[in-house]
Amino acid sequence: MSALPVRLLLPVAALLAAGGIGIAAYLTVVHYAHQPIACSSIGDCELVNSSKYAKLAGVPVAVLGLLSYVAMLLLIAAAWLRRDTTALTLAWGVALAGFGFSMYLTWIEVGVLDAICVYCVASASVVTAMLAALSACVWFARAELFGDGEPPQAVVVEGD
Amino acid sequence: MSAPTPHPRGRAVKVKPPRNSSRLLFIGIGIAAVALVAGFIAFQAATSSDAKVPVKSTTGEGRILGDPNAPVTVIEYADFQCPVCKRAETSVIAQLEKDYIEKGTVNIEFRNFAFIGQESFNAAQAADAARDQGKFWEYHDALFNAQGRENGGNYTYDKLVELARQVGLDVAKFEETLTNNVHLEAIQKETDDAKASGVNSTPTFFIGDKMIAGVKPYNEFKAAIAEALDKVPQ
Repeated sequence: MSALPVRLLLPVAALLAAGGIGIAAYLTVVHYAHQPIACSSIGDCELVNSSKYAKLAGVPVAVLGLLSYVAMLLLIAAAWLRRDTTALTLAWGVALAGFGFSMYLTWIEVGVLDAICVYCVASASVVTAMLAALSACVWFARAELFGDGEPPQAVVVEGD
Repeated sequence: MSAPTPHPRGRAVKVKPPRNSSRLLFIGIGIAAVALVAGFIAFQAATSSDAKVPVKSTTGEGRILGDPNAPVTVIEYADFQCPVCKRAETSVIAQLEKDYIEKGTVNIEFRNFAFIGQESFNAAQAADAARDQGKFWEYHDALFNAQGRENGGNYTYDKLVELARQVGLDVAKFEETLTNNVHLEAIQKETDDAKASGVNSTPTFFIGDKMIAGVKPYNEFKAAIAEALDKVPQ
């Protein structure tokens, strides 16, 4: 992963993951501290986060978001430090899943609850930007990942 | 593809095959991500349910929860159809009950601000019919737990009677109160008075001379209560 765009985009993706961790951590803390969310005047955070869609098998969606952002940050760090293409592919996969789930939750906000939570919109924007950045990384690193665009490599045959 | 070709230095070579395993891993991870999201959504649709209002640890008189002689009263204007009012029940009010109401320093008085639609008035009348039988708070909680889409048929006559049965009210007496609209005029007046006091959304709380509109951070409630307690003559 020596391509310059990859070296530039991976830190951007890492910063976005850190921002996502901040948002998800705040929502997790207020959930377990039984505190109201500090955004009632901007949107309907309380309505969104108290709805049945804010949990999955009893686990707050904010916790799942937090775990996925942490996983993405660790994978991006591995991709950056160890030039590990598998870690980059996995980070892209987590971002894709996060993006899909965020789009579903945004549709729930707009189409079902008729309410918007600014933190959820911010998180959806972050994960969308991360998916874009990581997709670009995969594209620019495609030669190292898949051998695309590489000239055929010569391998010495032993015993000649 | 792997046929030997001449090497510049005269040694036999073969072309390295494409990294098919990496491509398969990439496609596999993409499919797994999509499948994971689909699984999450399906699981959530099958298992999720709305949060319930916690069972009250204190009792009250009429529409007052807690000691009627408590030094500070928190007045709450609410609409039974309002989802944020339900959220207030599971967050701020549950916390107030634990921190103040159980100790007798604060009580809560419920007042109607029925503004969302006909079913708001239906629910408010039913709650007052339950109050006539000394079970306002039990019915209040049952109404919030039965909440659904606004004016979506959750507070129809039949549904309200069913809730009365579940709460253990004298159903015949309840129906008589409801049919004769005994409390309708008072609820309308209460809502009009609230508008005149500056209420335009729910929930709105009054603590002493402070008005808190919406479910604001709990510290705002604590500060307003502390201020109100300071003003209580010793």
